[in-house]
Amino acid sequence: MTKRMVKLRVPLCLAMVEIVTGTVGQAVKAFGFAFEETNRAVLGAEEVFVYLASQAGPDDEVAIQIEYGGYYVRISFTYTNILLPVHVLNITAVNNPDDVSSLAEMGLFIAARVCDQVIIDKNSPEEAVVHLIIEKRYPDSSPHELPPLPDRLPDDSIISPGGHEEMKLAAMRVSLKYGANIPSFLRFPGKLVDMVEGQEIRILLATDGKGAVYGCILWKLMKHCIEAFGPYLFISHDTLGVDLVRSMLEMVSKTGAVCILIREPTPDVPLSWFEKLPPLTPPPDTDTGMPLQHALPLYRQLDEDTGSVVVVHPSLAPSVQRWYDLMYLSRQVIISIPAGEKPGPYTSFSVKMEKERHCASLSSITIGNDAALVLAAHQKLLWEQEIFDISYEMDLKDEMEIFLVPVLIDSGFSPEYILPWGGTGDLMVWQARERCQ
Amino acid sequence: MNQTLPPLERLVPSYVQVITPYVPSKPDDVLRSAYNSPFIIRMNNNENVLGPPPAAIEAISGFDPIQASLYPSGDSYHLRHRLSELTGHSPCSFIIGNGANEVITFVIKAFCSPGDTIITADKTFAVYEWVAEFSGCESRLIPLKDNAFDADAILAARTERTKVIFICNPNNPTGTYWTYDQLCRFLDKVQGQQIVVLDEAYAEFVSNQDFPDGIRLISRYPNLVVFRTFSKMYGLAGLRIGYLAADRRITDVIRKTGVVYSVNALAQAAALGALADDGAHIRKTRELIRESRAYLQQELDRLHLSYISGEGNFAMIQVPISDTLLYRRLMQRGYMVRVMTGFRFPNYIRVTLHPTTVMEGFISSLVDCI
Repeated sequence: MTKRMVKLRVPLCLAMVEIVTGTVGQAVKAFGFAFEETNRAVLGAEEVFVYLASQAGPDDEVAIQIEYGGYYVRISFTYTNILLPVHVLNITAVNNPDDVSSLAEMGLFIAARVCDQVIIDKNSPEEAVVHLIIEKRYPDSSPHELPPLPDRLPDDSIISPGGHEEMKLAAMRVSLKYGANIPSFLRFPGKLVDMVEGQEIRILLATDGKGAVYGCILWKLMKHCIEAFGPYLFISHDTLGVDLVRSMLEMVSKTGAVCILIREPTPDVPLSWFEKLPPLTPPPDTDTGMPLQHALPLYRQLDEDTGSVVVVHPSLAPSVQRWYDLMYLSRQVIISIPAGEKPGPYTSFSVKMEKERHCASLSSITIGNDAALVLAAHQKLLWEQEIFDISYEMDLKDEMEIFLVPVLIDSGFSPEYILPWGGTGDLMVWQARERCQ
Repeated sequence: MNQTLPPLERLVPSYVQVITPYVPSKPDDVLRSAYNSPFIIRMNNNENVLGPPPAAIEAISGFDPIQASLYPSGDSYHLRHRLSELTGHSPCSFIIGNGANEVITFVIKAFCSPGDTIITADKTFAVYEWVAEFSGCESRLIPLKDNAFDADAILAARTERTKVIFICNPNNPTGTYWTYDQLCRFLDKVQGQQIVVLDEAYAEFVSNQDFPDGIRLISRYPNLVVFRTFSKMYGLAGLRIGYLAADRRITDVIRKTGVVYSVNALAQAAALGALADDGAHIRKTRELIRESRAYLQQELDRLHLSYISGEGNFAMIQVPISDTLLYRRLMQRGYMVRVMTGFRFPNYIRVTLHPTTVMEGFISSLVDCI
């Protein structure tokens, strides 16, 4: 995919707003986005710019970057010395138009709702970036009957990234064979193609080189970790799963990623190539430590593990230490005991939702005194949308996360497993599957 | 004071921005403590378990500490002259570097502009590919054929922008090598159109008669650049010293991008000592490796474990579990092996060959861990 980007640097004053909205609108349109998506981009950009301008000093400037990402456009505002009220970006935030004190934040509140994602990065103590992400809308694959495949994999089959039509065919075959338990991007063949073109997702296909697709594996590069999906096989075959996994590992081995994770393994994953991430608290009815109700996530490291430091709440320390021992992982476990210190006033969560699968994953942006209330509001909102499978990803390098442990437990979450190197350090994954009364 | 971060996106070349820095392993004492290991046997870096030759040890122990306050010879004058005496090439045909890694960088910087390509194998020493990438060059990685460099595929992959071809002979990690005839056939077909680097880091471990001595071929092939190191057979890995040899018209070019004074005085003295060895050290090492390899192969056969065991002081073992999990398990028992996923050999480990007494302990632990 050709990298397409528009950059703009303007003084942070309201007189510039039309230059900003005009540039964003023209750029997003030029990137091939539809009218509705362009409007959302313009509105979101306008609201963020107006808020920043209202808080800026006379000589302040903002750098704006509009970047085409295939299935999305990202509008980034880089600014200095302005504190953004991140709590209004919560999906649960409410803004009262009668409250004069909150009027200034109204724009950000709107921006958070018209965009698909709002991400805040801190470059330095003074410099921050707000990213607004607007995604394209894609037609559902509506998988229809596909021509049957031969029983045997042809002798001259190849494993390669394939072409667009083969990718779309793979997405449709995955939808047909694996039904509800697939990542949502695989429901939209066009989105898959754009994600692969934008290098958001990588794919390997097993094909006959003449258009027939027999299997695939996909993966996504995160900070230290790669999340893999599959392998998905469309015929019965003894070694195709291994071949796809081996080819993927050979391709990712030089990416610098530390580990690879398959959250929902398919039956064709070669288990000996991975490690099961055991539960932090084994169910009492098993002697193997493996839960009965669902498949364990699979994991493998891509390089030698040279150890790390994790910070844990005292109540979790024994099970965490036991878990690391079980995994042969060298970790210095620091037990952090709250000693009356207080977090900041506001809590803000990032939410990743997969509505089709009724699941959502939360992680913290900031943790404050209102954590219990904000978490409860998030749960309520997600339940109203029939999302009951809610997880929370706790970064064990972030000391502030300790404050959330009692809040999570009181809200019906329990720690499930640890994903080594899943965040800035290890991630503890909490789960609340049942609606909490 | 207001410290604003410099505009890194503008300052850092795009080909550097995408590179993930190499993270070296932590020191042995830290790892031993982290893994609560009873001891640490280093089987990960292919060091010579016998250490340096006696003459090199003597040079190190006799090194006058006052020399540490003086700059060393900037171009390793005496070492180059000694290499000249041993090989018959001009002292100007040698460039000494801070380990062979440094001379790899010299060569790529000398011949490649951003956008040029280098060619090597997909499963070989990673530093060629790594240096090329942070120099803005493309690495064309040709799959191994029967675990060896594929000459025909390499020749076919050349383009106008191909400047350097890297051949690791014998190959790390598979231990395969091109014979004298195979190498000459390849060089004949290249017809001098590219620089061909022959990395002979493990050459001294090979005793087979058909193994080529690249330095002897320099007169016949002026596009040939040969790498040698003192880190492997000569046991001086901790001092970081290696060299390249080539036609002096080629070294005149490479010297333009070479860093002078990068090789310290102690390393130069130790390397001179190593070259004074009468061959006893090499014979003793080869004998140890032969016995160790025979024992390892016999045990792996007994355990029905596949392996790739060619030349060099190492072997690769295919294991039935994730190589990285096995690393952690073996570390807790004191054996530090190299995981091979990063070499594009997932579920293989590479082990440095040790005396059989050590290998027995390793095999015993391996059985416990898999």
